[in-house]
Amino acid sequence: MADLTKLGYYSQTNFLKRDDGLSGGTVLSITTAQAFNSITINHNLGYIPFYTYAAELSGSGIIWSTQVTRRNLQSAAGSDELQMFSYATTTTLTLGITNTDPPKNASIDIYYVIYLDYGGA
Amino acid sequence: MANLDLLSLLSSHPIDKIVQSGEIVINHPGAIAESGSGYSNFPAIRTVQSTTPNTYGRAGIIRGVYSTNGGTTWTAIDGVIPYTQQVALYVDNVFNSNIYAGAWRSQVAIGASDTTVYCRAISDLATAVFRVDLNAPSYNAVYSGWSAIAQTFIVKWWMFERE
Repeated sequence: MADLTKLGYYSQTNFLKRDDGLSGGTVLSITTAQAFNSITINHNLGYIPFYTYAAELSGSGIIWSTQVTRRNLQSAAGSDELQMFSYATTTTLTLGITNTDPPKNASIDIYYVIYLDYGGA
Repeated sequence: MANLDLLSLLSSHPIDKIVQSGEIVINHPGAIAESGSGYSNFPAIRTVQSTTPNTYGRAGIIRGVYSTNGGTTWTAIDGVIPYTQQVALYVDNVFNSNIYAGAWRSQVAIGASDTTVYCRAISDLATAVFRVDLNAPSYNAVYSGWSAIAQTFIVKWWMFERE
């Protein structure tokens, strides 16, 4: 017997949709040590969207998905002298990294996904 | 009879596709004693890393939750749970004051390369009440009276394509 609950999906409203134009990767140039380096993406959605932000913090091929790796400094597992931050408005999403060392990290690959339909006013 | 399991999703927008998921358990010993210029035996943050193969073969973005109480409650993967340490300050062996310091009970970092998923449990959990001595002539800070407190981190994670 077919399970009709599988038909409960209504694609127009009930899931977080991506928009290819508002997702992807870019390079964040690090210009100032121990300060806030960031880029701003204009989404112009009219509301504060849900979003995801990840970054290849140490150039080792590891894309960190949590926005907190600064607390590794006293770690035998290695030191990431960087910390991600982000914030959104109804028209923009700012993605950044602080505590940076330009000679060590001249540029950092970052990735983001902005989701449509849901969010704050 | 049509097999509804075979119904495919057709949407004008892409969505997150989960490509791998898992659970990582990390036994964290608690704070680590750290000594440096002007201080010794300080209960510092310890990071314990665990890895598992990225079977998908391409680094993705990871969502997750973690628990430090055996799965009774779950914290967002970005969530940080602090706690307060009460440190009795002694100067030349005479009690001076109690000072209070914010400390890190639990935090998780997670990420992936094309070959490996990395998960780090971060904590400086220790006895919440201890002592620091500042004694002449150096007035170096010597911490004592604390013991590390171990925790088991359970991290549930889901990785999806980044683009």
